[in-house]
This record gives sequence, structure tokens and C-alpha cells, in this order.
Amino acid sequence: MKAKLIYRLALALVLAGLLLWSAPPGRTATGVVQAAARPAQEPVPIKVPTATIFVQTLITAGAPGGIVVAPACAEPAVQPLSSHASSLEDRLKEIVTFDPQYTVERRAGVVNLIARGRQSAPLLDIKVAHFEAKRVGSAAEALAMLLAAPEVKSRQPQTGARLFRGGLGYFDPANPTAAQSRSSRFDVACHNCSVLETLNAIARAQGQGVWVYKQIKCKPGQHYYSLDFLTP
Amino acid sequence: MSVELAPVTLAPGAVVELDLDPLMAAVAARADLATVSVQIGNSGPAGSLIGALTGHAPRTGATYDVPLRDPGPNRSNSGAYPWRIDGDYQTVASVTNVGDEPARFIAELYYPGGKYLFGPRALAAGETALFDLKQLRDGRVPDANGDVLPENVPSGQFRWRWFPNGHAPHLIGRAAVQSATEGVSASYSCMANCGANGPSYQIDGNNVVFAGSYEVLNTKEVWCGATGACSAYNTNIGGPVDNRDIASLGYLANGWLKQNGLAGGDTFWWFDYWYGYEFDDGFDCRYAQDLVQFTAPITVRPRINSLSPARGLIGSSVHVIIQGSGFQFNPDVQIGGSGITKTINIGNSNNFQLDVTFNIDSNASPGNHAVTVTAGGQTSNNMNFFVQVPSQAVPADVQGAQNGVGPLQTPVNGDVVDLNGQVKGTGQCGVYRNYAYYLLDQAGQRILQAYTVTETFTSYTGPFSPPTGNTSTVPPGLALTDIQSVTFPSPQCVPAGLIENFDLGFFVTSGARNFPLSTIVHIRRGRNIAGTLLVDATITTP
Repeated sequence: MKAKLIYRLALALVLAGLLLWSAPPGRTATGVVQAAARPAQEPVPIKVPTATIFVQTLITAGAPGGIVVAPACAEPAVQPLSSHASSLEDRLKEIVTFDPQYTVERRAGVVNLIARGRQSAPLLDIKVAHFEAKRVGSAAEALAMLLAAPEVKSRQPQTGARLFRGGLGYFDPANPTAAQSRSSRFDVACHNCSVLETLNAIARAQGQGVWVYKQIKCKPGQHYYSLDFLTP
Repeated sequence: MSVELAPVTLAPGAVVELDLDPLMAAVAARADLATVSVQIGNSGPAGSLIGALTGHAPRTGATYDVPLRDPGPNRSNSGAYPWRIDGDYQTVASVTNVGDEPARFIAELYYPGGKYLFGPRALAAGETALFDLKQLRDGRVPDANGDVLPENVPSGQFRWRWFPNGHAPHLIGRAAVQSATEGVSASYSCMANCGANGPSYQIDGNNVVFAGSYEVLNTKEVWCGATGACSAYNTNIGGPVDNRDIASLGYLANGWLKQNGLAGGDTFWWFDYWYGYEFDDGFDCRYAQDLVQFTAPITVRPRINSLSPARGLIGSSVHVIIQGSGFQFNPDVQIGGSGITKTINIGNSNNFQLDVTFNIDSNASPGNHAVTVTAGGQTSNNMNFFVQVPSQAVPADVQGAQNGVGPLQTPVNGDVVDLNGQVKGTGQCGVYRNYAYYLLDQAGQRILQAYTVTETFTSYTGPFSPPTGNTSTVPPGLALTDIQSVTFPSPQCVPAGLIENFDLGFFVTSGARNFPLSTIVHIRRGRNIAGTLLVDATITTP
């Protein structure tokens, strides 16, 4: 018993030493991005969570997709951002190579990054008999309609409540209402589809829609999920 | 006005006194005639007639002897006469064209310590030019260069000489010096020393001019005397420009010429003129002239007045309009530093603007890059183009978010609405606040191009895991917005004690390179133990 304790203590010290050794000045040992005091004259390796890299990769590529984020209650795993131009396919391969808990799946032109063993994502398997959204102005608007479907609402005890945490956008100070009208309207319909399939249908119909789903269950008795489209 | 007397025939050896009464009567009717001249023609053989003209001043009683000169053969066409204008002395010099063709001459006054330059003067056949030197001095009459005679200058020398033309001039001259108080009446008609030559032309000024602007040249005519000493007169010269698309000439003032730059390139202007010179052939002073050509180069440099925009995001392509002048002939653009290439849209360019796309590599050197334009083989001034590196996000004072921070919103079964008025969530309960930022470069200037920004979260504490970083592509000129929210669908709401703390950071992706911003926003949001809903942000930029 005592030997086991000493062994664990030693292992912890070694791990801590490795983390400290690998942390460059001005960065935390978690490796998550910290601001540089001056603009980068030399490439600064930036490490961010896998989900963030995936979202950034899809949005900069203009490709529709979605991610089922691996459940984590601590700081998520990070990986370095690629600083070289490469194809979307190569970037996706890099992402899953760095973080093997994810796998890339393609469904009719939509790229999904799925956490392996996503049994903790009950919402996505819910079947919706009829989903139809006409002339919606944004993917978020279509998502709101999907979440209002009776099949989804009735399963809230299993999925938990949706947590909305905000996000980025843009605003035209000279013409405050202009940003709303930038997105063109679109139709989307999916019958007898799962929520995941419907999300992909919305992403595909919008053209560049990217959704992020995350199941949050960090305290006993409290479970939530977040589900957002990160594009207009 | 002229008065012609009746012809008189003289027998050999005869002497006659001419009756000038008709002339005197005509003069008496005119109060404006200060002087008159008399010409006597001889139809007899050369050398068969001599004569004299005597003047009488009724007011002073003085009598003046005025010699009558035979113009004689065409020789040096020059003169050098003494003059006095001190006291009641006065001097009137005259030059007469006794040839059959129009002629020109130049004249100068030399006096102790200076020169007075009359500049070229044209004379019709038979015309006389008179110079009342006292009037010139006392009337403060400027010379060809704008100078005047000193107020007390007493005496000097009057010089004149031929001005070459397509044909040989035939001029004579004299100076009459008079003083009533001292009873002096003298007439001089001496020749100048042999060896004068001229004119030549001298240009002072910058012959390199920017397109759309002009440079001023001082143009002088230079005459040199027998001793080699030269005088330079302001004079107006000009001529055709070889390439009138590149430059033109314009008159500014006597002796001052404008070179107008029109388009980048090299050209010249020219004119033909006669150059005359005297030489001693061993017996007499002879005169000769040549037709020569004067040429002067003009170099026109293109000019950049502005670059718009003058800044551009690293790793992007920027459509730049270069405004200026002189871009007409084979324009090209050079960009200093490393990492910027360009494409010129010739179809949308002209002499006054170039339509250029700057392709800024993601590894381009940050900061200023000197931009020049070459056209017609000439290089413009340079103007800086600034490569912007995303460096920080600062609060943007926009509608709905004063100083970048919107009001705290606490919906209960209400909507979450962004700064555009767009509903992001309906039937929500909890707390949120809108924020707005502008992206700045390393010099603190706004980046106005489209950019892609991603948020990152660190140092998270709270009941959930950190949010997933969002990526947004912000269109040109717009503000980045961020909603910081903790809401649930009503009737569920944020329980007391649910507080999240984390640091929000950003990086901008441009040209496959990522640029972290130095700005860190510390967020604290949720509902505290006392039940107060809050979203607080502390924005720090090192």
C-alpha cells in the first residue's frame, strides 16, 4: 500500500515536471492560448481545444458540418493550430491524429467530428417525424424550430435543459440593422430523421452552417447540453 | 509723324542751308515731342555730300552741333559711348536701323559697380530707339532683370550691339550728352571693341518635374563682349516639346518658364536661333552668324498622391487604388520590404490612378512597405503601405454597447437578443450582456478588412466545462460582437451560486497563419449566492 502511494507520488511529480518543462515562458502549463505581448513576428504555436480547431477549420473553409464534443468537465484536450495552408481533408486528418478520441464522418457533404462512444449524446438520436422550416433567416432560427419539435421537447428529462452561453458575431455601427439582412433565407426539411441528421440538413441548407453539440454532466443530478450553430 | 521737305539740288562745291521751318511748325503743334530725328538722303555718288545739323535751345540760348553720319558699309553694328547724368547733364542714346529689313539689338549701361540691361529690342527698317538715361534713372525704370539704376549714379558707358537674325543687321547709333550750365553739347558714335558674340542661352532650375506639378526655370540670354565678360538677361524663350504627352511649357513671367509634368518619361524641348560673333580679319572687325539649335531635357517623374487604403491585413489580398499623376506609359508598381506581390488591373487604370491588388503573404514583414510607381522609365516618390498584424481587441463604442459594453439583461421567459436585434434564443431565463470590439493592428489602428477571429477560453472555473470556442468572419469595417450569456429555457433558470469564471482570448486567422491577440477578457457570469445575476468583464491589453 505504501509502495503504491510512493509510486503514485513519483508519477505525479514526473508528470508535473514534464508539464512545467514543456510550458514556454508566458504560457500556462495547460497549453491553452495566452496572449503574446507583441504581435507575432515569428510563428507562435497556438494550442486550442480540438472542438475549437474543428470549428475554425470548417468555418474558414466555408464547409458545413457539426461536432459532437467529447464530454469533459475539466479543461479539454488541446492541440496546436496548423500554421500552414493545407486542404480541408488534411486538416481533418491532423485533428483526429492529434486527438484520437474523435473520428471524422461525412454525411452527404456535411463533415461531422464525432466523439467516439457518444452514448452520452441522447438528444442526437431522437427521431423527428416531420421537420420543415421555410424561408428561415439563419441556422439558429431553424435550430429553434427543431428544438421546439414535440419529439425533442418530450425527451428533456433525458437530455437535460439546453444551456445557452452566447457567442461571436458582428455588427455594423453605421447601419445597425444591416448585419441581420446579410444572410439569405433558405428552406430545410427532413422527415423521419434523427436530430443529428436534421442538424446536418440545416447546415447543408444554410451552406456553411456549423453546429456544436456538447453534453454537460459535471455534477451529480445536473445534466445540461449546449447546442448552437456558430454561423449566421 | 514725319515731315518730308522738298528735294534740294546742289551744284558741285555748293553749300546750302536747309529750310526746316515746315518741320519746326509741325513740331510746334505737338507738345509731346521731346526729340526729333533728321534723315538726309543723297542721290549722288558716295562721298559726294557732307553736312551738319545745328540745334538751338531758345530757353538756354545754347547752340548744339549735331553731326550727320553716313551709315556707311555694314561693319560691326555696335557702339560704346560715354554718358553723364549728374547735375544738369543729360544723355540720350539712340540706335537706328538703317537697313532694309527689321533688326534687333541689345543694349547695356555700364556704371561703377553695376550694369543695367535693356534686353533685346526690335527695330523696323528706318526706326530709331531712343534711351533717355536720366529719365531711366529718375523714373526708377527696371531693366530686363528687374533692377534699377542707382539713384545717384552719375555716369558710365552705353553699349549696344547687333542681335543676329536671318539676315545681317545694319544699325548705327550715337549718344548726345548735354549740360546747359556747363555749356556742353557732345555727340559720341564710337565702335565697341571687336570680338563680341552671342546670344547663348542659360537655364537655371530643376528640369526634373513630377507629373501633375511644375518646375520653374529662369531663362537668360547671355552676351559676351570682346574682353570675354558676359551679361545675362532675363528673357522669354521656349519652343515645342518633343513628346507633348509627357510635358508642356508655359510662360510664367519675363524670364520665368514653367515646365508642366504630364506623364512619367523623358522628353526635351528646343528652338533654333541665330548666333552671331565678331572677329578681326586682320583689316577690320567682321561679323558672322550661324543658325544653331538649343535643346533642353525634361524628366517627368510619376507622382503618388495617395494609396487607398494605405493599410492592409497580413495574409490577405487588398484592392488598392494608387492616385496620383503620370502613370500613362508602361506603369509598374514596386513594393519594398518582403512579402507583398501585386497585380495591376490595367483596364481600370489611367494616367491618374492605378488599380492594384496587393497580395500580402502571411509571412510579409509587418509595418511600412515603400510603394513606388515607375512609368515611362521614371520612378515616382514613395508612399508607405502598412502591413497590419492583428494585435488587440478594444471595446467599440457602438449603438447598444456604450464603450463596448451593453446593459445587463435578465430575461425571464424572454429573448436573448444580439446588438443587431437578432433573436438568439427565445423563452430564456438567466442573464446576458452584449459586447463589441474593434480589431487593432500593432500600431493601434483599426483593421478594416474582413477577418476571421476565434475565441479561446482558459482558466475556467464553474459548474460546467469551458465553452467551445466560436469562430466568426467579420465583414469589412464592422465590429466584432460577443454575447456573454448563461440562460436556460424557462421555467428553468440560473440557480443561486452558479458562477462561471474564465479568461476569454482571441486569435485571428489570416492566410493560414494565426495571430493571437494580446487582449484578455476576464469573464465572471451567473448568479451569486445572494441571488444577484451578473455578467462582468475585465478587459486587459498588455
